[in-house]
Amino acid sequence: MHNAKRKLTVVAMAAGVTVTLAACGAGSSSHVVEGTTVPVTATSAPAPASTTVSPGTTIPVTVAPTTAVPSDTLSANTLNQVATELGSLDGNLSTANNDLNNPQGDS
Amino acid sequence: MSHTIMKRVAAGVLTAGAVAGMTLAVPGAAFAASSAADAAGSTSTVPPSSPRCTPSLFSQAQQAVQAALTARVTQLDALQSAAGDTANHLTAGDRQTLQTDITTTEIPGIQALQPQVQQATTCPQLRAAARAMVIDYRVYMVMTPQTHLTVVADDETFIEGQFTAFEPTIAQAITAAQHAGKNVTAAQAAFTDLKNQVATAQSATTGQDTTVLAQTPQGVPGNWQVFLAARTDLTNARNDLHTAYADARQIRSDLQ
Repeated sequence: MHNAKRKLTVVAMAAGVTVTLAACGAGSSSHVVEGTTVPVTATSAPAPASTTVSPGTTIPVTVAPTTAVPSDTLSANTLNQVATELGSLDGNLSTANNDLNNPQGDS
Repeated sequence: MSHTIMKRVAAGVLTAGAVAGMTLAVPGAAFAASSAADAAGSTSTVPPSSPRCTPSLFSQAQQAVQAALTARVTQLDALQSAAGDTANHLTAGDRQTLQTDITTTEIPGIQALQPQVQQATTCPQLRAAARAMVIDYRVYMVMTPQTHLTVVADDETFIEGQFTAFEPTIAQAITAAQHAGKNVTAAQAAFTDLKNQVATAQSATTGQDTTVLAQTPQGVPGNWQVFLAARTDLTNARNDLHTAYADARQIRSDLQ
């Protein structure tokens, strides 16, 4: 009778531990995604980001420093856009120059 | 250039007189049998009025004025398109000012002269219409440079705004690169130059649109100098902005 009780207790404890571990594992996968705070822009000074795995547990994640110019500031596209604007400006200035260099018949 | 345009204006009193009947400086010369230069025995290269408005040449003179009016309407249509072109960066206010001037003053005014010229039967009538066509509207000497220079001024202001919007983030990028151990000397120098170029361009551009738009047909020929000065400033600003662009490319290259 004592043996049976002891066995039942051990099984119950083992089952409890299993459930707890499963719960932690299941939760950690989504927490990793939701809790990530990795900097969006590449110009931010390197700073450790925290990833919450489960309540009370944090795993430090260090983002490698980068020196690249931010993509939204001086990307090739941005520079190309400015170049396009400058090209348009040149065309309009050329037109204005033509007005002034070769005035037509109001005189 | 000022001499050139003044000569043109003076000469135009004679040459355009053939078409437009500008008789302010040389009353009676326009449409006369001989130009003032001819009468004075001058060796001026000013071409003689052709066709002159005499009873026998009235029809030719009338056709010439009609053609000049049609050409002005065409030019004003082109200016209206330029003012309405959203590919340029005219400010809303400047766009409105130009469009209002073109569509409510210039085009209706020139078009109103067309039936007058068609119905004219005498040289004085033709001369009056031609004179109004030139002096009242100044399609080529005011409206045209005014429109195009304003577009340039506002385009430059827009590009200057683009550069100044980049500046804080470029500064951050250089600082980040420096903290990461990168040599940013060249990038920093380029950035300093970029800021200087943009500031200089802004200085040259500021107020140009207002100044240019303030010119009126009544300001001829004096306002030609205003247009020339604006052109000089805007050309300088254009060069500054191109240099700033080269600086930006340099910075990007240095930080990569």
